[in-house]
Amino acid sequence: MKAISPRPRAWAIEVEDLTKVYPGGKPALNGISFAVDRGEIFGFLGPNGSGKTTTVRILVTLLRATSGAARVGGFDVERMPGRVRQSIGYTAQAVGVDDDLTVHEHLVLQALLHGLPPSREQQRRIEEVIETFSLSDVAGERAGRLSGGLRRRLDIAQALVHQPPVLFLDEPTIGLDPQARNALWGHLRRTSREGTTIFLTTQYLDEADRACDRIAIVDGGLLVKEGTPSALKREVGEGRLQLTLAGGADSARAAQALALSPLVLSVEPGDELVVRVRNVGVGLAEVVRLLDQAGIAIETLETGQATLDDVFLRYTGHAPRTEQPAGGAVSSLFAAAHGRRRR
Amino acid sequence: MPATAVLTFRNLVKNVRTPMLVIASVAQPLVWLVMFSQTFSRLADTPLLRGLGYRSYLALLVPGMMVLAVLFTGLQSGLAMVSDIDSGMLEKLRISPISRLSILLGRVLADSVTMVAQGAVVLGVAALMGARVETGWLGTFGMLASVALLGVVGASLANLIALRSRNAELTMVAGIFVTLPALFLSPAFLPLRFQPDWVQAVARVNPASYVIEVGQRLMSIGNDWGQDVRMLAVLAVAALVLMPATVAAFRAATR
Repeated sequence: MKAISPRPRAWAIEVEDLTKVYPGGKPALNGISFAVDRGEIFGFLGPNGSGKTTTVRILVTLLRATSGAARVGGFDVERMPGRVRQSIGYTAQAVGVDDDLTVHEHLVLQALLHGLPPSREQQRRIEEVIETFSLSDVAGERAGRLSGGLRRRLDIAQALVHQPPVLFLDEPTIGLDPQARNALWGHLRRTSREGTTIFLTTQYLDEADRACDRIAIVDGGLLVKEGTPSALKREVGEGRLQLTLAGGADSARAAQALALSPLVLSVEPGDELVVRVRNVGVGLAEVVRLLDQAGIAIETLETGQATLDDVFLRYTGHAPRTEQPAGGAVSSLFAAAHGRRRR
Repeated sequence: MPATAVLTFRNLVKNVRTPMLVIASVAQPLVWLVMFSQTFSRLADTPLLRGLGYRSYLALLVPGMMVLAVLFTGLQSGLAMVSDIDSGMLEKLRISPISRLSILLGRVLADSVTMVAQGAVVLGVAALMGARVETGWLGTFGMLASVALLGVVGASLANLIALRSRNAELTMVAGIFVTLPALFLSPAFLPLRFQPDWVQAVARVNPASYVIEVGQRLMSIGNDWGQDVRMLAVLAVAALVLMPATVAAFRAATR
């Protein structure tokens, strides 16, 4: 396997005006452009059907773009898919493991397929990912006997065993419990510190916030916003105040009083009054002053910084769907019983 | 290490891991071999049959049962393809820096090894029952090689259906729909001259018939190069018709 020649100021991933129209005329991408720097953790954030998976599948050479260009590790995905494949690791949304093979065999297979011959080096790499993803207790187990969380970890270990410069993870934390999720983020940050570029998609805003160096918000096949999580939050600059009123004061009257201020963006009346203000510092003082003027006493008051939810709401006009649809479990059972379709 | 070798090995390891699949596809022909050779022995093991050169009805049955075993395994090759699509393993292979062809070759080679092994098991059981290959080791080799070639053609058809439908049930039903007539509309159970004209006509376009006839001759009578060449030509035609379609379906599935 030839080493990928380093280029001056080369991006790990470059995407220019990418579009994808599926047969049948349904557009999935409507012209997306972005670039990911080497060593970055880049989060692609968006609801179901926003074009996240389509983008990933084009970047890992599984799908052809309708128009536009994309380069991974400096290689064009359309013209040099072979070179791109030498540069990447990938895990799909659905875990890709072979129930008949053991954990260790999966890793050997992937190493061999990526041109890492049986050798000390291969052994060392395999032991390393087994260690990293805490798989040593199950290294000899067949994948069919592993829990969902372990299968996910094995899948990511497979994608990393050949030390790809660029790692693509399509919703890597789906189906993981919070503990496994935290552990996975720990692993990924370590991997990133070793120089691997990580491109991931997620519907979980809090995760993207904590783990990603930069995020892009996609919606309806368009990239609506891009930046560091903190910059995006700063830009939105919204603060969220939650207050309860003393002595059963009329929350609708309080809402009326607050709605007059230009600093207040929105008010949701109720037992707990939720007030969004343009800036927590100034907004908080304003809210307290206005309620005082109206003769309404505050019992409790909590403040919260803008979250990525707010960012998302601001740029897409709707709230992100972070929960799995209720029918998810049932429909996946159904799909399993009737042969899952990949496309 | 070449990817084709790696994938052949992987597919064989999978077979060993679920031995029931391999055993099941050879168990059916073995049961038939025992059942038919016993139940039909009075009726079929006649001077008339021996007069045609067959050593016994059992000897006549063996090649057909070898063919049944490899056709079942060909069918399982298609099912394994659906399973690789469903499990995401095919996608894993597609994003690996290996030639697309090695994915297909790895499957064909693993299938062939399994088919030769199954043919040998059928021959071995037949030997235990008292049938032997009159043409010796060379004839045995010829029988194993020819049934494996037919099996690969069958596997090509099963994979074509599997890749187009991506559906295990459909592949299964279509496979059985093809396998059993291929066997019954052939000299597998009875020399063609004892069968109605229309069966003889169908058998003439059935590649399995040619393989079974060559096998029956190698079991009982001796080699006939003309017949061997005819069989190879028919298999080549079948392969030329099917394999481009399978490769095209595979290309469509793997871009």
